[in-house]
Formats: sequence, C-alpha cells, structure tokens
Amino acid sequence: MTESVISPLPSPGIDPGPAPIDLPDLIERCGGDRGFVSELFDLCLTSVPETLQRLDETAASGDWPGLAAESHGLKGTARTIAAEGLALACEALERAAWLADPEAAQLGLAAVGETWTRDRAEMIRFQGEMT
Amino acid sequence: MKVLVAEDQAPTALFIRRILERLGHEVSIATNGEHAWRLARDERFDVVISDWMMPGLDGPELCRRIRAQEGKPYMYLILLTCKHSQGDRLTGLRAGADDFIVKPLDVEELEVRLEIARRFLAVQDELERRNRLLSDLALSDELTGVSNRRRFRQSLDVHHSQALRQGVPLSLAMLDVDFFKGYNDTFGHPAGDELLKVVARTLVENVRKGDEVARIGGEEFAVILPDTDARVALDLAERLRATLARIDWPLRPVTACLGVSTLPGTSAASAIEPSTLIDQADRALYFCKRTGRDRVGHFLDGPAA
Repeated sequence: MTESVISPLPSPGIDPGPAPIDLPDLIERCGGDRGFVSELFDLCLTSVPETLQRLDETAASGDWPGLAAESHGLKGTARTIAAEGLALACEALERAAWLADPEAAQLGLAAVGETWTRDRAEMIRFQGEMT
Repeated sequence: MKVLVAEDQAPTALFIRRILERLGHEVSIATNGEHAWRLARDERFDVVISDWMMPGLDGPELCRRIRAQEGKPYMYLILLTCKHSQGDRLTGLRAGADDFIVKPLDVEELEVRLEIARRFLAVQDELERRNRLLSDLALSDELTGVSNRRRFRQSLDVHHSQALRQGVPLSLAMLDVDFFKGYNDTFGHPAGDELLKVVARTLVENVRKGDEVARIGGEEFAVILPDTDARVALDLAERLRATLARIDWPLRPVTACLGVSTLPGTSAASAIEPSTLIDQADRALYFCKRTGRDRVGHFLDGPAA
C-alpha cells in the first residue's frame, strides 16, 4: 500500500479558486508572526521553482513514480502555506502520475504551473508589504 | 523533549521546526529517510516525527528500522501523512508508529499529541528506572549493599575472560570473619549484622578502584582483584586484614582470615577456571583457619598441601 493511492478526484484541469493563499489562516497557524510567514514564503520562492523543474523533467522522461513523489512533496508544501488551490492541483497531478496517464499529467502540470504563478504573485505582494 | 523531524520539503520542515521550538522542544531536521535513520541510530531522541513519503527510505520503513534496534531507549514515533485511510493507519502501526498527524499540521493538535508522547515516555522512563532498580536489588546483598553471590559469579566470569584475553593476572581474595558464630551467639544477630556491615564498608573503602567486593555467604566475603599478581594480591589482603584488626570494635576485637588465589598472566592460565580460582582461594582461607586466626595465605604458598 502506498500513501498516494488517493481517493477519486476531479479531472486534473481544476479551477484554482479565488484565493491563492489563505493568508489569515496561515498567519494564525504561524502564531500571528508575519515575519515567520515571510520566511516561509522566502523559502518557497526559492525551492518551489526547483520542484517545478523536477516535475517537468520526470514527466518528460515518463518517470511516473518520480513525478508522483515530486507532486506529493509539493502538495505538502502547498498545504503548509495554506495554498489549497496548489495543493489540489498537485494532488490531481499525483493521481495522474500513479495512473501513468500522460494526458492527465500534462493537464496537471499546467494546473500546477498556473496556480503557482498566482501563489507566487501573492507571496511577492506579501513580501512587498513586509518591507 | 528532543525531537527529530524527518521531512524532505524545506518549507514544511521549517514550519514544523519553528512550531516545535516555540513549544519548547529541541529540534533536529533530517532532509530524507536515510538521514533520519542515521540520526535516530546514532543519537538519542524522545520523539521522531516523520513524513510518510520521502525519497529513498519512507516513513514506515524508518519506523521499522528504529523499532528493530535492540537495547535502545524507546522513541515515540509519529507519522505525518496526508492520508488517513484505515489501510494506511494499519500499515503505519504495524511498522511501529505510535501516532499519526495529518497534514496540514494543526498546531494545537501537534501540541496535544506531543503531550501524549510526553506522558507515554514518562511511564516508559519510570518502568525502565524500576527495572534497573530491581536488577540492582537482585544483584546486591541486602544487608551490606555490596555485590551478592550471583553478581560475584558474573563479575568473576567477566574478569576471568578479560584476563585470559589480555594475558594479565587476576587474583581473588576470600575473607571469613573469625569466630563469627560465637559473636552472633554472644551479642545477638543485630550486633552480628552490624559487624558484617562494618566489614563490608571497610573492604569497600580499602580496595582499589576496579576491585569488586562481594558478600557470598553468612560471614564470608570475596574481593576480585583484576590485573593483580600474587605478590600484590597478598599485600592487599594483608592490608585488609590489618585494617579490620585495627578497628576499635565496640563489643570485642574482631579479626578475619583471607585466602588468596591467582590466575597467572601466562599461557598456563587457560587451565584455571573461575570455579578453580574460588576453590584455591577457599583452600588457602581454610588453611589459615586451621593454623590460627587473623592471618593471610596464598594458595601458591602451599596451604593446600
């Protein structure tokens, strides 16, 4: 049994929703420490692009277990920063990887990229407010 | 508590670290399963919080490896998971996990679950402490506090093996209090017990570091003298005898005889078993008893002849 055999989900091309990151929830979980939130965002802005690169590489090479593992990891990161849209996109991509479905994987990659672009903008906006 | 976090995602690892530090815990981060395994194997952690899916070694396998270690203090294992189906829970529990926390991490829930871990570990610590106490009691002489016969035999076997392996001598001194039965009959058992306590304390205070004192019978004591040849052992035994005789005993003078035997640090030693060493020291002791009191003899001096 692997943890990633997940429950049925909608098709990978999901709607990321109106709120990229649930900032009030994240700030509350960080004990109201906006500096801590900023630190988390800094780390995400550095590490997530590297993960996206690996997602592309594993998908291009047909490394389905690798793609599933990378998308699973990014899903965890997304949930940590209350980016539920990104987490759902990652979950859909992970499912596509476990099913070894190239078409669904491409849709999933696109959804992950799209949600990340929005989340990234939100993080940069937040960082700008912090300075 | 000292907490090891196994998490390959840097933002999540940072988040957990800060939360745990805020709760007053000492945190180490492992960035993958193998890294976590090395830390858990080589260091002492109270709690391990591990992500389920990690590159290489995953969370359940990390749990299995930690649980397979023998003789290590108990580590409370918590698996971090996005999933919580019964199948996953059973897999985790069978692997040795104690608890689960579902992502995204809820700070309050984490705090409560760590409190459960603390309670569990406190019970575990108390159990281990009592086991150690029981073990000590089982190997100590109740009256005098020195080693009892069982521990004496275990220690003698260990020292005997070490002496043979290292090619060094090992000596044994057996001590018997002179006229102890008469002392007991005259002054009563409480006085006799007090005498035995003083003898034990005197021996402990006058042997060298590394020597071991045991009470192996009523008024009979033994002193294991590691890395000690016959000449030095006899000197030590003589010093013990003289020290006991010099004590200002409250009821009447008390003396003792000591018989000494030695395992030589040579190839001939392998023929001498621990039981032989005891027998030789006993024979030397009873030779002293037969020829008087308040004296010391070595088996090699011919007392057994």
